[in-house]
Amino acid sequence: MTTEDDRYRQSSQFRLWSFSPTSLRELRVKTNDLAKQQISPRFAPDAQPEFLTPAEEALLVQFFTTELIRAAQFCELPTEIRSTAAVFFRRFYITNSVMTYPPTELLKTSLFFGCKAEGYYIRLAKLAEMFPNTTSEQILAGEFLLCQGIRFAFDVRHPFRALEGAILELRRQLPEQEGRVAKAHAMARDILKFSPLLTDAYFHYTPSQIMMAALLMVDKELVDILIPAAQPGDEESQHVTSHAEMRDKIIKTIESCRDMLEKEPPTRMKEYWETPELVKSLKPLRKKLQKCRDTDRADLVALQRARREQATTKVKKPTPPSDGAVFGDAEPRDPKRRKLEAANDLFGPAL
Amino acid sequence: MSRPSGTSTVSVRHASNSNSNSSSAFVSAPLPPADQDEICPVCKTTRYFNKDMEFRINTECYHRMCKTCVERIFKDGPNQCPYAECHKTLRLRGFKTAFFGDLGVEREVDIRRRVAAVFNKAEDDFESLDAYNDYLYMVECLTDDLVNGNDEARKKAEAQLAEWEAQHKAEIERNRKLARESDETRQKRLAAEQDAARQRRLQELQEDAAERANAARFREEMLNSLQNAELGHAEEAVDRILLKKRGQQKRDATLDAVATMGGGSGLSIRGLRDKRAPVQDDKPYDPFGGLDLAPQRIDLSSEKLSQYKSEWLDITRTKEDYIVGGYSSREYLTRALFEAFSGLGVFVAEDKDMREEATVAASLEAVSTGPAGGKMDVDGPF
Repeated sequence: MTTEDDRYRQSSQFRLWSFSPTSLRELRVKTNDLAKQQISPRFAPDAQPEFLTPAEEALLVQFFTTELIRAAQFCELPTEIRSTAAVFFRRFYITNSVMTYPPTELLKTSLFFGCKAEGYYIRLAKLAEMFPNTTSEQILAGEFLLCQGIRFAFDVRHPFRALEGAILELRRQLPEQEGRVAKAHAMARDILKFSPLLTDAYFHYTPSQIMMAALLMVDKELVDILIPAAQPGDEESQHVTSHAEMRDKIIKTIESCRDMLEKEPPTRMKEYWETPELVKSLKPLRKKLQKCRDTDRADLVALQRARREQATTKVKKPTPPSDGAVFGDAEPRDPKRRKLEAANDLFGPAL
Repeated sequence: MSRPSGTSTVSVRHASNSNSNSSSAFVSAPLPPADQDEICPVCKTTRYFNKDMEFRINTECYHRMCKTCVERIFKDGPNQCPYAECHKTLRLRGFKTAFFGDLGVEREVDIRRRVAAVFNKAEDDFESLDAYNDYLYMVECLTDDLVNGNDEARKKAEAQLAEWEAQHKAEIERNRKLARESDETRQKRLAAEQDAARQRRLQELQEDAAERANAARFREEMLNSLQNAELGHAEEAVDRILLKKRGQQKRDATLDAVATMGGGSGLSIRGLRDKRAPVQDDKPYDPFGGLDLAPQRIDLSSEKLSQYKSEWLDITRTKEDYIVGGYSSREYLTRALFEAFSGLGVFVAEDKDMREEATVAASLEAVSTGPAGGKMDVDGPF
């Protein structure tokens, strides 16, 4: 368990929040289905709204991620916090639907909790002041929900420090090409600040792979220097072939990651906010979301308050008012609760 | 083994309750009231009529009866135990006086003596302490089965005992002889030591007496010489006598030294056959238990680390503000370089697909159990 790869496998990012593309897709479809099942009883049978498809949901999450990045830039939060908050936000909306919980609220909560997770102190009131029509209570309301949604995995492994390491190594190996390396460094950093957050790169690739992919987009030769074809001084043929195989596999993975990152190059950051067409194209989606969202869970503050009250009454009375009385969906919740209690697993079952 | 057997000087003050019919009942039998000692349960004679009444037991069933009853019933050969429901056939030869008041203890001691006669290996017969401990454990288990076990366990233990005796006949005999020899030598040594001690005491007494006599003589001599010495030569006379005394003391000291040199030490060491000292591990303590955290894709030795340069690193390396505070660029460098290559060979899609095959069935089941059986809805942990 001592190799670098094994040590990464121990991280919560790998254990809980890494998926193969197919399983991630299945997970999103499942989340969407469950949300539909839960929300449809809220509406009259003859007035069922048109629900969002998983693809539309993904598009909305992407949009709100850009909003989150913009908000973080506005609040002048450091890059790591911005990225952590964005990853929290995206992780939350893998197992929760946009229709169930309002993304505009959770966006702020993610930012605040991202600060906490990265050990960066910011006053809650100060953060709330930054946003229009926002109280600190609103930001806090979704905090525990968010923690549950991200399965209490607060450690996000970013590719930024990996990039610093790679650049140090490159500067050692190429002392005469200082300018080239510095340029690659700046460009790769720009990519890492934006592209992996808008794509699923954090779910499918490891930080060092993402970093290599960013470098590959900027300057292919630099990656060849970092991952040499064959180690000099290796005579054993078997070792060489296994090394070559491994290298091919790594290069292939990095290239697929690069393809993913190239879909959202950092130049698109401006587009999201400035091109009217793109903003307009999202408008019907947001309207659709307004119509089909879970009205009972739209107000996180009230939800939180109800839950607190329920918890306090539970202490006084042996039989508390059932969850269904508060939320209006007795049947689907109760068996679940029983199951959760039976499993006795704070973090829930495997995804 | 070393307990003097047979010649018991302790009279039975608290003979045990012997109304039970099976020997296993002794195990949990409470101590009998003291007046049980007063009446023989067989002939009902009381101590009032027979002042010298003495109780006997047989190791077959441990039922108490008075000496008169034993002689009356078993004088003409083997007979059945007079207790109701006890069908053991007893012989006169098997009777003895109980050493312990509690017959349960008496029985256990008898059994232990019997077992020890068969399992008579000593510590020096074993190579390792583990083997010796295993042997002791086995013997103790067997003994416990015999003493406290139910009928079945007891039968099994008896069989085991007999088997062991048959298998290790020669060895047992040899060990017994060795034990007897070592016992004898020990007895001899003890006797010799006692003898020597007595001799020493006698000698000391004699020496004391001699010294006292010497002192008295010396005093007398001195007085005599002072008396006889010419006038004005008293000091010379005293000096001469003192010189003589000193010479005497020196001679005594050498004699003593010779005596102690000759006395050999009767010390003998017993223990495991394997006398090697345990191997000592003198290596420094490794808190990580041999865990090697050095990455394989990059060399993080300190001479290599010093080759990495950047304006920030140069500042931390040269500026005294940082150096004095104890900041080392090494931590940052190792972490950054480690992260650059950590997880490069982890292929999430492959790894996760492999894991999924194991868990997919479980998760499908979870989804199918209820409409909201998935984990999408994580709101109530209460």
